[in-house]
Amino acid sequence: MTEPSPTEEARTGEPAAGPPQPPPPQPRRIGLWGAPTCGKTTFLAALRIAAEEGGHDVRLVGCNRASTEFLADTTRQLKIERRFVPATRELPPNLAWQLHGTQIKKVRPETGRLRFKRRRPVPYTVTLDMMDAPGGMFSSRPEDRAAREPSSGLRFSSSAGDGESGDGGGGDAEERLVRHLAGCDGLLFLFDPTREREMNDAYAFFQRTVLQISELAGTSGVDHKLPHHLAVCITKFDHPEVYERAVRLGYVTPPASIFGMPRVDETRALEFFEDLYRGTHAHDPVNSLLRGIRSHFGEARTRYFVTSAIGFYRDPVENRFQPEDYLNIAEQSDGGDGLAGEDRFRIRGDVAPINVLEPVMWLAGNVGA
Amino acid sequence: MNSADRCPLCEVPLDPAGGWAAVEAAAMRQDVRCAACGWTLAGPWRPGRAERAAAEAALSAARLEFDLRAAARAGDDWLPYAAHLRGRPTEAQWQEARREAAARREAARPPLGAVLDALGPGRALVVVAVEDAGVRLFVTGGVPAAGPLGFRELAAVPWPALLPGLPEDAAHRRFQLAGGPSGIDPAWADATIGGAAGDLVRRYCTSVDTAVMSAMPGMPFPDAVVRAFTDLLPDVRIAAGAPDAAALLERIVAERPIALSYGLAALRSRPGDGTAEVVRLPLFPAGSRAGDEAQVRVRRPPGPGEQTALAVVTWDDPPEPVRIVSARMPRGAAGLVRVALDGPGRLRFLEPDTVTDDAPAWPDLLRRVPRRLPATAFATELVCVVELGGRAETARRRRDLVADLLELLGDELGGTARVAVVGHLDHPIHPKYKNRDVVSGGPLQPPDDAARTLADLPSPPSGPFGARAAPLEDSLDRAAALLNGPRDGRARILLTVAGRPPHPGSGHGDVIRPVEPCPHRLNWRQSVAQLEAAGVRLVAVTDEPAPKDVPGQAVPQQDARRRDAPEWAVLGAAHRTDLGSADAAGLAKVLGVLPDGDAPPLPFPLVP
Repeated sequence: MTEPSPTEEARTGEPAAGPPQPPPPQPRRIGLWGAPTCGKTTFLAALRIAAEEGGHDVRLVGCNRASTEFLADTTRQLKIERRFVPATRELPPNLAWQLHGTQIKKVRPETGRLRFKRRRPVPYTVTLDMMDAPGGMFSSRPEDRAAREPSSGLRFSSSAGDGESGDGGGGDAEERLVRHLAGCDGLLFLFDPTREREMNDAYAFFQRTVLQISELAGTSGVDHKLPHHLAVCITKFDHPEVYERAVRLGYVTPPASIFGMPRVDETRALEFFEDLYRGTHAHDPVNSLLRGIRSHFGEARTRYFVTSAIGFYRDPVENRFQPEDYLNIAEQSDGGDGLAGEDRFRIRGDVAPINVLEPVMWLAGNVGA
Repeated sequence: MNSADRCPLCEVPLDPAGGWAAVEAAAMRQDVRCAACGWTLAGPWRPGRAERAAAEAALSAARLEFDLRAAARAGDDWLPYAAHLRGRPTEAQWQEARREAAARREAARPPLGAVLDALGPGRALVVVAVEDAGVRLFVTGGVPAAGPLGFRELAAVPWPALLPGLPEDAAHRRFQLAGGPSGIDPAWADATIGGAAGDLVRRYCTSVDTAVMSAMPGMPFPDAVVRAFTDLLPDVRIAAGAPDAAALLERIVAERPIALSYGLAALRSRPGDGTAEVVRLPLFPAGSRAGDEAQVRVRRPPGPGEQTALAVVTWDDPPEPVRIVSARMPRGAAGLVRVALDGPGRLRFLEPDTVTDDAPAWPDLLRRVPRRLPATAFATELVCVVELGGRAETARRRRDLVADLLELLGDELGGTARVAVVGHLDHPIHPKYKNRDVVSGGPLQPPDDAARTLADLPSPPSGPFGARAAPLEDSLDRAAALLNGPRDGRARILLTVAGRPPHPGSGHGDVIRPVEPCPHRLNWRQSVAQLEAAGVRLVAVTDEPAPKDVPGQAVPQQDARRRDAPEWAVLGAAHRTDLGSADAAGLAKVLGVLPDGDAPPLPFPLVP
């Protein structure tokens, strides 16, 4: 974890001013990881909306110009234009935000006679240092890393590469990405069930990268596993293929109110993941993936989330979830193959992310703890 | 024979036995008179010179009077017979002769029409007509059930052949027939005429009703002919004569009323079991006469054939054909058939204006009646649902196909078909506009009007469109409302020309290829159920052809993106084709509004 962070890089160019300050706390870094079209870019774009409208007392701001513009652009596209964020076509500069919030912690007072721990709100700031890489870079198959074709279907891609980008498909970029992930304290692994049903390639994307990370990261101090905390996000909960399955298997928690959205409780997310493809051809590859996760990441440092970046559709008149009409995307066509992924799908209603901020906050609250 | 052997007045030869009669009359001191005219031929005295002159004058006056009486029977003027008169009459003498001829004219005879009326249907009648030129025999009969009432000349015997000695000159002959001096012994004439009449009776009048009519009543020799037939045939009917018996018969048969009603044969589907049956559309009731006109409306049987058999038949069981013609009926709307009655069995078609008599025979036409009428025979209600959105070029092809179909239906069926055009644009994605009406179109109307409605349908805005579904469910809802109500034997068809299936009424359909539901919550399956309950045939033309089965592989196992939308199987239940292979003519056939080229044409027009 010696890789300089973007915040450090940003500070490097700033002139020194004022009296010498105590060294800043080491930033807690979170890396984003997943197969193409699993929703990495949209996940990032939904973070701010989730922070502002998800009922969490947190604030997400950019640490540099690129991150701030990313926040502003993606929020506008998702929330106002109701369009998906264009797929990542080349490795962008590291994106860094600061998540400001308040945690209830047991804290020992520094002064006073009674110095036992007390529960009190403690403000905190977490730096999220993410690298949104095209998904093809994570593949174990050379042709995927080289070509990184945009995919079709009900998903949007951050994996599309035109093959001409200078550093998108080269070995340097791959090495930089692996070093970045290895240097992170926490990892967000996005798993797209709709892609897996069709492509069965999540394990392929996982196993090569995890080996490369293992080569650089060593082990945790308490066990033989990797030191990272891992938040596994089962994405696209809003897709009928995922939602209907969850409903049928009884994993959906009814909304707390008529205005609420269905969820899969975190405590049952792993169980749902295990059951998601039971009885289908995708069951064995997903089991391989799960075994790989358990093999490389400590169980206590791994948590599963069922997430949706855009959430379910709510009728503007009824303003609540309706099981007969919850699909929040509309697929469009121009009659040929001319529409790019972000134009191919339009968002029907308001964006209401589900479990997007929660894995980030879980990581923020645990890494470096 | 010299003049001494003849009566000086009537010129009838004297009987050779007259000499002895004169001797006896002289012995008894009595006058000797002509047996034919009663003229005093000799007396018991010897006239002196003065008496001889007076006798010559009296003979001349008697001759003129005798001749004038014949001329008055022969005509209304003596001038045509002036050459044969023995003297020149004064006007007073001529008028006196006419008065005398009129007083002797026999009582009026019943007209020949009355004689025919008295005959039973189908019975023949031989008419013996005594005319100026001779005697002609005709055969005619009572009014037949179906065919025309006609007559035919059986024989013609001129006067010279009937009674040798009559002059060839017509005026002279008529003068002699009327009693002018001819030198023919009446007794010999009666015998000769009787012999000739006997020959005719034996040849033509055995076991058949006979009527005799004379154009020259009151004339001695024509009366002798009538008398000869009445002597030979006790039941013979005597009718009033006419100068030209053929013309009289022509007029009489044409003016006879028809015995049975006439109707136009047409096809319909029998209520109840739906079998095809030939019915008669009333034209002329029994008793109709020449000069009457009637009209009915029929529908031209569908199909490419332009000729239709128009068969007028009797209202009888079984019906008998009266007249069958082949006509070119107007396409589409109920065609007018207008017929004039020119007499029993004589029909003249006024509309259509061009008919020919080359129609098949009645039994052949009956053999061509199918057990059931094809769907094309029924009035049609067609709703064309057109997807207006999607790829611009494809949308244009859909509209072109429907436009071609409407033009064809307008040509072929006209007002028989009522067509509604319903088109739909895409539902707006933004929820703010979700209640916007995306369906437009018109009511059921003639194809030409529907074509104008189609042309007025809006075009979609440019740009992307829904990939998975279109508001077909909204159009189906409109179609179900249009094709509601009593069917009344009409064929009802829904033609869907679209590329995208409908939005589900609720939920998102296939979870792998989900689609947003209809914002109006319209359930296309409910609309289809209504359409099916209303007897609507469902035909679909989709942008893409139905996927073909891969041998050994079920369709659902094939590539999901190429899997056919299950909605098309429902909406194309009766027939499904694709836009690339559909054309208006073929579509009209599968819709059932135009017959297949292989189907035999219907023999009769249809009941409208």
